[in-house]
Amino acid sequence: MALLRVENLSVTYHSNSGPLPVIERLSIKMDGGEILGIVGESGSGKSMLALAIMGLLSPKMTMRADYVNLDGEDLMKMDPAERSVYVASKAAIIFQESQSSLNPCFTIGSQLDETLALHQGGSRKYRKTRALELLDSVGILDPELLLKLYPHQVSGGMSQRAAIAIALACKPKLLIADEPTTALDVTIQAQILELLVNLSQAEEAGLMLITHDFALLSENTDRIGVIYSGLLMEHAATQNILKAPKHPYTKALLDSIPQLGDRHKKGSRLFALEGHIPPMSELPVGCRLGPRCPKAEKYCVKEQELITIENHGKVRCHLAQQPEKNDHKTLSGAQK
Amino acid sequence: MSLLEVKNISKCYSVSRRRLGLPQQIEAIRNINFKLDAGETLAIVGESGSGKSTLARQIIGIEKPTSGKVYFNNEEQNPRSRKQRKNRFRNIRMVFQNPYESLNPQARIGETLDEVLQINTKLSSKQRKEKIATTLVKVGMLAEHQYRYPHMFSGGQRQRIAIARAIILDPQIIIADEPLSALDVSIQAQILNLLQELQEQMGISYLFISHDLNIVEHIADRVMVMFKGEVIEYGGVDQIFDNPKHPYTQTLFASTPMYRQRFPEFSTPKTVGKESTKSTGCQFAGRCNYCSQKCLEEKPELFELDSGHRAACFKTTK
Amino acid sequence: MRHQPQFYQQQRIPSIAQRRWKSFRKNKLASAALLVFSLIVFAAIFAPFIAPYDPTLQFNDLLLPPSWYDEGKTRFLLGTDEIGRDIFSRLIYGANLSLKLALIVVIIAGSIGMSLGFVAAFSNRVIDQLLQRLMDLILALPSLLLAIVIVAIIGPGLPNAIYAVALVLIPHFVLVTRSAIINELNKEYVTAMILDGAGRFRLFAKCILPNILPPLIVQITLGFSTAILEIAALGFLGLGAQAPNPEWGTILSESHNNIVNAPWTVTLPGLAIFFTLLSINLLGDGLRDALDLDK
Repeated sequence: MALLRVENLSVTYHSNSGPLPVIERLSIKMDGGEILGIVGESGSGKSMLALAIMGLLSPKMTMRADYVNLDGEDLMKMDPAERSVYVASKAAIIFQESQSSLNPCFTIGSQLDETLALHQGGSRKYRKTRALELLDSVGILDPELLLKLYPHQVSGGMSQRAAIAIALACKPKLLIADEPTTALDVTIQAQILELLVNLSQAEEAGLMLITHDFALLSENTDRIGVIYSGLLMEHAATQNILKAPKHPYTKALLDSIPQLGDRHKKGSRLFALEGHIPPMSELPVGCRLGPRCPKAEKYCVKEQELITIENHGKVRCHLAQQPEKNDHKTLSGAQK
Repeated sequence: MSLLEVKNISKCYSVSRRRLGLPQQIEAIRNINFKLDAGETLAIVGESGSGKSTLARQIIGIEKPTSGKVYFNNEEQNPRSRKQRKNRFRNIRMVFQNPYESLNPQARIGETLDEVLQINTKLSSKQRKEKIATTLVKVGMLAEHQYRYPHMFSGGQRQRIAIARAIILDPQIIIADEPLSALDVSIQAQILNLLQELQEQMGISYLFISHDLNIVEHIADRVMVMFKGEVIEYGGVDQIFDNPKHPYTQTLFASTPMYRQRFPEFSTPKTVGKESTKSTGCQFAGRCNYCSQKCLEEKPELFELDSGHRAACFKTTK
Repeated sequence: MRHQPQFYQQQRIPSIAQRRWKSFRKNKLASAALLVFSLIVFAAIFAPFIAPYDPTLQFNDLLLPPSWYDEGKTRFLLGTDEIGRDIFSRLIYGANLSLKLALIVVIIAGSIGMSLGFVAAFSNRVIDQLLQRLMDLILALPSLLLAIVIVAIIGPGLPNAIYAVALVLIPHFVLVTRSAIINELNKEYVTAMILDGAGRFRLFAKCILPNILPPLIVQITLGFSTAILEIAALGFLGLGAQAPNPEWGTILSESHNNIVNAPWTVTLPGLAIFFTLLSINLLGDGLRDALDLDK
């Protein structure tokens, strides 16, 4: 039984000049203990996916879906109040800027205590021991001290740990981390990521890791979904995506990261996708990647559907069906 | 001799302490030395707060260093000399991290670029217009874009404009302060390629400030690793990326997924412990896995390991 | 295979001012306010041509109701007051006087306040702090009360009322200017322009001024409405314009005894003040939204 099943989720932003599609017909599935990576550029709608699942969309956005099944219950069938209580007990989200997602007016201790009181109750003393346990589990050396501090008094890494502790307070089945390490230093990034992975493993909880950084996902995730301009472009096991990406966009993303041992040589260039992600109001006809795609051809003016490729996963590109002529590495060679 | 040389630069900021109201000296960078040759790229790597940007500000002359000297074109730079400062402003240009904030929102692109030429050159208005058009084309934009306002461009395009603003005076050095970190991955590659292209065409030297190791490996000739305002390792890109010596540099590699495969023996640092606040001893001692008593008491200098490769760690001298 | 990004050339790129005007026009309420305010300004400027009578001319018809009442006369559109002066003419001339006074006040307060704010932003900490605390001192007292105290000391009358109201308006201009400039100085594009080699004057004229103009313009409109209100209040209390000057506040105070038997003599000048202030404030709101486009 899957932990999370989202079927045909669409999110629409109602702007002053009419509705704009933020996410279109997106389906994903996650099991407990599984780590799913979501990659996309800014403006691709990856954060909106997280907010839609959590029911935190702004009033200017609406969502539709066949169903959003979280731990056996369909969220779309609940009324908003019921839904928010249910989601809060099953899932938690961690944001990029932990400093700003914590309330600056209260100590970390009181915010943690509040969450615990809401979800588990128990005596004040029990909650305190539970809070110390939680902070200990996220690798904080002096939890007693941290409880008394305000968010602005601690470093970025520390407050991100505190935010994770608060997220864990409700013993979530699903943990969504939206760019959890982007604002942190490299050394701290590694620690936080390791922490998230270990926690989800220990608790058998699902972890959805949303990021723009492919390198971050390569080691930790089981499966990866690539989102571009509100559409799921490729969705497959991590190994398949890294070894043999089928969608030109995934290939481009992988190729545009300098490779290991790629030293500066005169005339050497990275593969770079031309142009930039289209604004929601100016989506191209047909394939969303069309105007930027290095392999675009006549057929691409038609809207692409997700096709299932055997031994791989799902790809939104008609080229994926054709026998692969060249490996993705040669793509950068063709670029000169 | 080299194009730019920095000798023993330090910068202190006074910060008023809350309780006593007495100004307290905080040393943002300490005793920094390096040379930059023409046409070469020196990358400065370090985490936030390591003083990378402070160093850039001292070099370009927008702030006066507390002590130390900057030589540009073999000429000692007097921080009080207005003429020298203007000369440095013209020949050392800067590209900022956030392309959304480095362009005046009220001015058309052409106006911003025209301003640069008006101040620094004696070109006629027609020549300026031509120069703006060719520079925009050089960075991959269209000449017509000069009539637009910054808000009409995406982040990547704005960074191209910022680069146009830097190269329009044909500078010798460009200081790029995290020029890619505000951009998306696919755009990062575009800008990186552009920077390399311009270097090959115009022979510009780059001082490339970044925290992203694979980008540094791709673009740098030499690498300087900074930690808490000090240089802790310095060397050619091959020396640093094939054989990093300082425990902090090793930590950086161990924390970056891609490099973990190359250096499986390096360990991630200890969970952040108490930072050593004493100025004696190694700055990294509190997080170092190889910390010994000596490290706490004595500050290691930059030891020369092999030609040009230096690291500030006692362990490396054995 | 290399794809050139596609750019579609626009015929003409609208300037910032054009975009702001377009966005302002979209705001219906603010556009209506602009229209009403323009009408008031028009009436004020051409008061001698629009008003049928001299504002001090007395007729034999005392306390005549407006013309749409049965007892009213078409000669006196809005009726007459207790000594037989035409209310319509007095209101029109009143608009002239009120707007003129408010304009003088805003010019005095604005020029002094913006210069002080400029000084505070660019000078050292001691002067900056001194100026700021001084402004806090003025702001600490209710503005009307302060104006009354000042007028009570230097004596009632129009010029003194102008000085008093200008003084209480100055702190707002100082603080807005100061914070706007300091805010701008921390922007990266200012640093970038310094690195372009721009001198102080160029930096201020090309980079800082255009960016601090929006909050200043909004402050000016708000100051204008405050000035009208305070001058009217002083006039009502007998400390500002003196009878028989057709100033709105003065008209109100002259006729408030007749509120029961001739309510129009009180409501009409009240409505004049009300609509003027409403239109200016709505205009200010609209301007704030339109000027904030790029933020």
